[in-house]
Amino acid sequence: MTAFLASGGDWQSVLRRLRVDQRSTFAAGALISIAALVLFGPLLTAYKPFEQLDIANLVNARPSSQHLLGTDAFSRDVLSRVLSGGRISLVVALSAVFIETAIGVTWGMIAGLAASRIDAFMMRCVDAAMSVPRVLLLLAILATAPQLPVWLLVVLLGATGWFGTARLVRSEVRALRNTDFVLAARALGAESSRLAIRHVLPHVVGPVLVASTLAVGQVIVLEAGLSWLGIGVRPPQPSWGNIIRDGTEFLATAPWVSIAPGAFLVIVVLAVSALGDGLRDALAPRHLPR
Amino acid sequence: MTEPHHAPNDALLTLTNVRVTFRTADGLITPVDGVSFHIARGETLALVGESGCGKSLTALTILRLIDAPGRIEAGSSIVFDGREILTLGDKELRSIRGQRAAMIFQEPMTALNPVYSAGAQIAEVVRTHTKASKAEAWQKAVEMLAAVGIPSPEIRAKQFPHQLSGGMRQRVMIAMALVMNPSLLIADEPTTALDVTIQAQLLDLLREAQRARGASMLLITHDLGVVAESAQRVAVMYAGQIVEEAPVNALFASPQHPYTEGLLAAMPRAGSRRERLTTIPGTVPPPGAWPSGCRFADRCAYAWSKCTAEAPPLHQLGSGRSARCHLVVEPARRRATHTETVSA
Repeated sequence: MTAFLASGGDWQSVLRRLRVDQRSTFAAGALISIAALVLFGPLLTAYKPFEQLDIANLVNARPSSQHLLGTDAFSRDVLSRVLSGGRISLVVALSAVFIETAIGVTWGMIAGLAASRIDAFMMRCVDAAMSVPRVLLLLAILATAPQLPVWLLVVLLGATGWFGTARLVRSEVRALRNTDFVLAARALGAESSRLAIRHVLPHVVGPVLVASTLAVGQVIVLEAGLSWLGIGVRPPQPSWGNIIRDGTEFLATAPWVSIAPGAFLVIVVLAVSALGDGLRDALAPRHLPR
Repeated sequence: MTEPHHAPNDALLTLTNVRVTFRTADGLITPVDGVSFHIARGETLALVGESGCGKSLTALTILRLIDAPGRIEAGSSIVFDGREILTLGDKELRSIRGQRAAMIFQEPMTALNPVYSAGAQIAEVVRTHTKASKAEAWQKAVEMLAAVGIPSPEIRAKQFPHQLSGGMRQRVMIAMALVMNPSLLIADEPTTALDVTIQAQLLDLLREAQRARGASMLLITHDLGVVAESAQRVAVMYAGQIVEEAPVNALFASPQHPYTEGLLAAMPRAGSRRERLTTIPGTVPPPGAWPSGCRFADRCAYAWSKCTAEAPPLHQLGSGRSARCHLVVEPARRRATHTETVSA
């Protein structure tokens, strides 16, 4: 059992430990700044992300005071596109992770609490699904869908990402089932649904939170990759992945088009995984290697 | 193998021939093998025996808390307050658990949920069984904490288990068990995990609470000192069976089963001139490795050929006493000394 549980699920000390951890505070700071930028930035920029400003004279223009990150091959303002694309990328990632967490926790809870035969069946399904690489599965589905609304991409990302969460939750629940306090709760008359929600679920929150945070990083990269291939978020709708793709052809002459969204992508993914690691340590301080 | 158990009609709890089996990799084992006893209203029955003899499992069986691969075998009967527990539906069973019969566990460290405050855990029991509002349940929880002798209960109610001492945690467990005023308390080694001084306080508390409420108690313990203070009757369990049952004074005065004799001899006594405590050689054999004759034979100082050949029945001795031992019918052999038996 993690130390987090032994300390009474004390979220205040978790927050305190996160705050004293430089890596986590730095990561959280970076994430909050970028989130604020992509949230409010598009309201502040002078140009629209789809607007082709001057197709004759403003193609692949260098960064300047007019266009802080330059323009692309279609004479669109790269900064506007990166900020607006960031909105899409982050919203897609967060929603997809929300879906995968919801499915994974539900599946894992049911399997963990069910009789061993049902549990075995449910987990073999997860094993089978996990044996197909996620990217391959997504490629197969997305490549056959010419028109794809963004919400459907979110659903697909969520529906292919919950297997690990289910496995994690299921093993936690199996261990929790045999704890004295669950037995004590049963002995005092708690029914199964109450046991699951009040006595088991709270103990799963910590590990799931860590896994989901790390999953956000994965999904951002995954979506960027799919969009780069042209089958994720589709043009003209900008996302970090397809902006990078727009710039790939002109990498030698106009590198800023790809570098700008690429840099955002790298910073966000690094920050998310640092935050995930920090969270894991804050939840179980005794497991620190130091 | 088991004789009819003569329970008085007004018994609150009557177990008859309760058998619990577990399917294991090594085959079917029967850690609770034909246990029968009863508890009268307001009475405390102590269930005594070494670790591994089936006491705790028997306790869990009463509230049907045995999970697969464990099974309560057909032919077992547990009648609580006139109702057969083993055929109750889920809902009725839940309304008995915690409300009519409540259990106190051995380890207050692990039996309290670490993510809820003490008050929340008691309130949870109230809300499980009544339609009380959150505020009413919380109020009840604070009252219970006061009733089990926790100072400044309003403050303690908001604290988490890791902020409380072991004794205080066990008081919280007791408060959880008592909050619905159950007519039966099942206390599974309630003080074993605690300091000696705290043990005495908690036993007093349990006794007081029980007396005030007129509740019955099944007190599971391996500590005969606790038995002498708290129980009216004692059932001694060995290797899944009751081997002796007697009123507490009679048991201490003249134990009939050599196992009971051994347990009493192993008890430290004030003013005793003996320098070393006697021990019973060996340990309880695990279920599945039980000898076919008397299960205690290989550890018994009196054992003779009959003991390994033939399992003794539970002989009824009158005035509420019984013993599962061949010595009952061949008392002359009891006089044979330890050394004689060993050299023979």
